[in-house]
Amino acid sequence: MYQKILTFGLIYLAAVASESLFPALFFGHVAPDMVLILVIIWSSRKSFESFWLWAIGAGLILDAVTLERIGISAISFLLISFAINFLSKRFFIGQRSRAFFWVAMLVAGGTMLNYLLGIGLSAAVGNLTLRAFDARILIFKIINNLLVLAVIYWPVVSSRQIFPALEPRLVAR
Amino acid sequence: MPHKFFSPNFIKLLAALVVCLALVFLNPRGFFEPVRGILLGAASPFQKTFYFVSERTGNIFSLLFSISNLKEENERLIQENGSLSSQLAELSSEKKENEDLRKQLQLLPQKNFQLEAATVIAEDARGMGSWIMIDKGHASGVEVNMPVIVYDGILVGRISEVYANSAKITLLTDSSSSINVTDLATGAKGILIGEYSLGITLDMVEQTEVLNEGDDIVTSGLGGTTPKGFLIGKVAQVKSSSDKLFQQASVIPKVKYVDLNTVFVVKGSL
Repeated sequence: MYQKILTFGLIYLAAVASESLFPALFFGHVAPDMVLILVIIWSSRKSFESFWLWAIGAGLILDAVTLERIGISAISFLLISFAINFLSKRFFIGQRSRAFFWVAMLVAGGTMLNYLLGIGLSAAVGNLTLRAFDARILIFKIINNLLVLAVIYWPVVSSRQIFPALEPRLVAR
Repeated sequence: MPHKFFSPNFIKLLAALVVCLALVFLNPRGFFEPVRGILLGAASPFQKTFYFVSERTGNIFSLLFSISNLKEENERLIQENGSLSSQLAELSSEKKENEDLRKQLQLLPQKNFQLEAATVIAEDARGMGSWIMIDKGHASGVEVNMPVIVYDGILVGRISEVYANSAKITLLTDSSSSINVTDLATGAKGILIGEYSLGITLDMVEQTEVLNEGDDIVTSGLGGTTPKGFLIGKVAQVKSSSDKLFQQASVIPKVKYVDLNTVFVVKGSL
């Protein structure tokens, strides 16, 4: 229970930081998607059935804190989590020695997908128009997300003491 | 055994997507607002601290990156200072004339409005410059649709969402922003529309009206939502709309919205 609360707190603080701490610190006042990066890292290491609810929850928290329409980020994180789990099972099992490189590729792809889904869904509900798409912002987002990934990847993947909530349960046979 | 297309994971995905899409498109009014209010209320102290730290750190980075430009900037400023000194003498006589003009054109007299000072604590993380969040809400008398200004009566946006101790300001650059404005010099009337990172556009100006580059754009007061006389920016480029029926102009805002720290909510007239 304690670890779940800790994981929830980390996601919550990451969401708050994405609109209050990061915009002034990164290129073009474009904040990195800290919550998305965490979802991608965890999705690449966990099974979909153990993580899908966390992906939805992370999206709902992010939408609530960043004043977006509730559900948009949840849809994006759910699809990204499923896609990453699918790709991890079929292509990356033998690539553990270069795990960071592959996660970086997933972050770049996930950033693009998240940005496009966000604009598309927001436009569909009338919050934005498709003219909001800005390639410059997308490039800044990918660069900033990769920078943040380089800083947090190893602490996150090695913090089994802090995040065992996301570890699959061991079953004694 | 043939691999099933509809695996348990895929079925979970579809079911979750249906629920989330229902949340997005049906958007039960007010259903999630209490939860959002609680999350934002708990986030408020973190937001203030984070935003303060980020602004200070961002300023240091800006200073470091601008060091190489300082010599050139210094020489330019010395030159500009010389020409400004000679203009100062002329301007003192125009001060009286300006005060008379303000009365005639009914520009915003600051002391006639009840203002609530607020600090910016968050901004649009997507980098589109669509909104900012302030640390005042219902508890301070802030309500939806109240205009928001900075020093000298410069309009930056309006209140679009209000919570207990915070509020969201939709900036003029947001595509949903639409304000009736007028050209201060020529009286040409039009509608100011946000264009995200491309800035703001003055649209629906009749072809018979006159727009000049460098003209000040102020609110016209039409529609009743925003008082007359709030300054917005200057006309940068004039062109015709795609159907040639109206004139359009790009408007450069008077202030940079990403650098806002303190704003004033116009709560009403005194």
